Amino acid sequence: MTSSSRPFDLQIKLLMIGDSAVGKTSLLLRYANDTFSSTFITTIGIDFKIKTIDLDGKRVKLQIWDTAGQEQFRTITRSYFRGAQGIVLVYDITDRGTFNSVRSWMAQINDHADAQVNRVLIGNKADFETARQVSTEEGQRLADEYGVKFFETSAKNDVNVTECFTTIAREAKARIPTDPNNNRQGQRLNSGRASGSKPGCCK
Amino acid sequence: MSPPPPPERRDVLSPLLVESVAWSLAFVRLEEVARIARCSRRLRSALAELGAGASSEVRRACRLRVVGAKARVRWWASVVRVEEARRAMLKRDRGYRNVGLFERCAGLDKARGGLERLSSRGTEGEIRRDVARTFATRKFFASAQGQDLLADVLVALATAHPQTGYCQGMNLVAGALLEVHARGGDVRPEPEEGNEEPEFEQQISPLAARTAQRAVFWLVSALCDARKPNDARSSSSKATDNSLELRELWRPGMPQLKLRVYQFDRLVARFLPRLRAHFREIGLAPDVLASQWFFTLFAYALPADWLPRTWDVIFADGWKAVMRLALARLSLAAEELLSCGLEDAGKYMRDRSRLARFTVEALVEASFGFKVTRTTLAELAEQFGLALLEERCCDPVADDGWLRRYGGQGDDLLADAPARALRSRLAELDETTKRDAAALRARVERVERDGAEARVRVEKATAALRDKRRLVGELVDAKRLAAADAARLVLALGGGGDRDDDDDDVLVVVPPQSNRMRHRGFLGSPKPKTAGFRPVPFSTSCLPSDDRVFVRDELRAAQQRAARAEKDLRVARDKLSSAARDFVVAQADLDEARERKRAVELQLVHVVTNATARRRGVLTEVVQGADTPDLNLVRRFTENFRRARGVSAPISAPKLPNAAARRTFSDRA
Repeated sequence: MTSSSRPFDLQIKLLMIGDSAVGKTSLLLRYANDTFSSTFITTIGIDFKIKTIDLDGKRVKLQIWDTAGQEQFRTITRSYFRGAQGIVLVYDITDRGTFNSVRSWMAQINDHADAQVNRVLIGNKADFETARQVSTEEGQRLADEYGVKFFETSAKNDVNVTECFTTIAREAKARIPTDPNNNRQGQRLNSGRASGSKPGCCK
Repeated sequence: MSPPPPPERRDVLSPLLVESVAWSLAFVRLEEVARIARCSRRLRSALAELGAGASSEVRRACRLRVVGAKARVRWWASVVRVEEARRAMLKRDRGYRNVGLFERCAGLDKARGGLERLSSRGTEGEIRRDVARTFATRKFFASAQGQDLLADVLVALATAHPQTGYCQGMNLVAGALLEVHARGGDVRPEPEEGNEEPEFEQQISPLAARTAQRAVFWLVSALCDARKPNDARSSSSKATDNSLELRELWRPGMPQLKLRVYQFDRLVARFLPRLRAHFREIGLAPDVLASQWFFTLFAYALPADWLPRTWDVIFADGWKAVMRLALARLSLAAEELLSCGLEDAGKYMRDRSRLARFTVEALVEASFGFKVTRTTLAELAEQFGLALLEERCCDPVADDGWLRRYGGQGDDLLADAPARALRSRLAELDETTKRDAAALRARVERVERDGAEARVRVEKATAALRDKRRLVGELVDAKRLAAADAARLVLALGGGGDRDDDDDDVLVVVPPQSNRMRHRGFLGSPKPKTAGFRPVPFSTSCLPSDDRVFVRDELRAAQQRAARAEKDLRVARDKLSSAARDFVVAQADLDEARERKRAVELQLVHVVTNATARRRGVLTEVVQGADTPDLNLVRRFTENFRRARGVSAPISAPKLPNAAARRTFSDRA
């Protein structure tokens, strides 16, 4: 069986977190469907999208879980931390409050996610420069402090969106074979999915 | 007796009558309306006029079908018992200052309402952000007026229910309700792709807007509230618990969500097992779909123009209806979903336009097909409480456990000390059970061993019996032969001859009267001692003397042979009867061993069942005593149910083995 005839070689589970209305769903829709609408919907509870990409010669299927940002929903979203191989933490550069929450989100990751999980910090709405409240330097400094990559993105203008997802996917992919625990999980998901699968959308 | 009304009056109902029926729906209990409607043709026709289409089944029609747009808003207020909730809230508010509770909560007494006044921080910020994206595609909310109205309602709700605060999902429920109220009980379908929704005819008058806001505020408040199970109005409190208690779903921690998702998952397993198996295979957890449905009462998942009708059913029947509708929603799409992978299934269920080929009536009809009762839900609630506790006692919690999946990390469920105590109590119980079971299992083994031994003995005895029978048969033949020889010789001697000194009493063999079968045929019965031999005086002889001597020797030999055979036969017969005795004993032992084994096995079953019941008892006790959101909810839910139904035992009692087993067990104990 050749690599191309199989739907994917590896499955990676990503999780998007961040305060309410920072643009998690918009980023995801831009990345997965390449669409944007300024009046978007609230995510109630949990939702997901799947995108299969070619990453360094391997077909990687990204299962991206989109969560509700509101404090009220933490109890639900928390249960999705476990088993995620990469976490995309989003704040809104036009809202300092969402930037200040990044530390509490990081603490949540420490408490509830797998120890080895890959993380990336995103400052979204970079197109809205006039309303900016958080400078790029501040964002970069915080990211450095946690030792994670940092991007400023615009879901509206499609800036850096693909890059940030590719980065986190690549980091997670590099780690997974060395981590037998996650590898097994990937394998299991892979085999369970193989029967009903259809070719990925990148074809 | 009054004369029947003229026919033309019956057909053309006065608008006044229709209006008065609409009012009566708001203030008279539905059962009453149904009873009157059963005998009053005019009321029936009035109801029919109110509704989109009349049903022949009046009660059901009243509850679920006949409510037309005109009566809807009042009818909702009636079934949700807004008045009761309002009284309770005003009482809490101290002083019965009915005037303007909504305005005070919304802050309208201090400032002009609207979205713009809200700050961008905290709860107000959340409301501000969410109002802008509530049903953004609908004309009503695209207008500034619609958004302002909704913002006021949400602020008022968050203030009036500080424990709940504002929770995403409220905006959708309140928003859809606001549109229904503002548009007089019905909503237009969503516009087709590329087809603009016609402009909202006119601005709503300030009075109408405020009336709608207040109505929605009280209605949502009532939906949040817990209803007292035994209130004065419902004399037959059976089956009237339609409270949704959304407070428990929307407040931090969302205690009700875990319970409802658990119930939903079990119900899908019961009613749509193939679909559930498929979901498991593709890795779609039930909460991914259902939590959104529950938070928003389907406001997100169904087309806007379906909502009024769907909510008729939900407000009338509470969670029972929510579960039925959720199952119906799945079943409508079941065939497609079965061929979907994870991604397509998610897309499919989120896409409202896929429902275009169905009607809301089809959904509601399908929902009636799932027999989910309040008893079912109470049973599942009880199971959920026990499952949570069981899981809390497991260490570590399994990956697919409910605590893991639905938020709780376990620590907030039970404090550590009680959890440890409970764990050790359960461990003790388990230990006792294990000991009992081990003892019984040892007995089963012993009995089995006895049985095997008995079986071997039975086989041996059977073989021995067969042997002995054959031997006896052979000996009987030999004896016959000898006897026949002797008889022939006696004849040859001519019945006379010299009387021999040595042989005073020569035995003449007379063939035995009994046949061989008679010797063989019985086992262990006393043998008739009919001797085959009779002493005959040897007096005459008709043979020459030489010959006589020879014949006499022959005769003596034959007689000896016969005697020997006779002796052997006696021995063999003794052996045969002893073998038969052995066989009987062995067979009896075997039967007894079998009987004992059966008894011990029943005891074992009983020990296990009993242990399950005791375990359940311990857990139930803890549920009664624990003070955690989840368990409080379970307890209140099941207690209300019990009080309403007048039962005290566990709702789903464990099945015990049959009476014989119980008796055996108590004898032993």
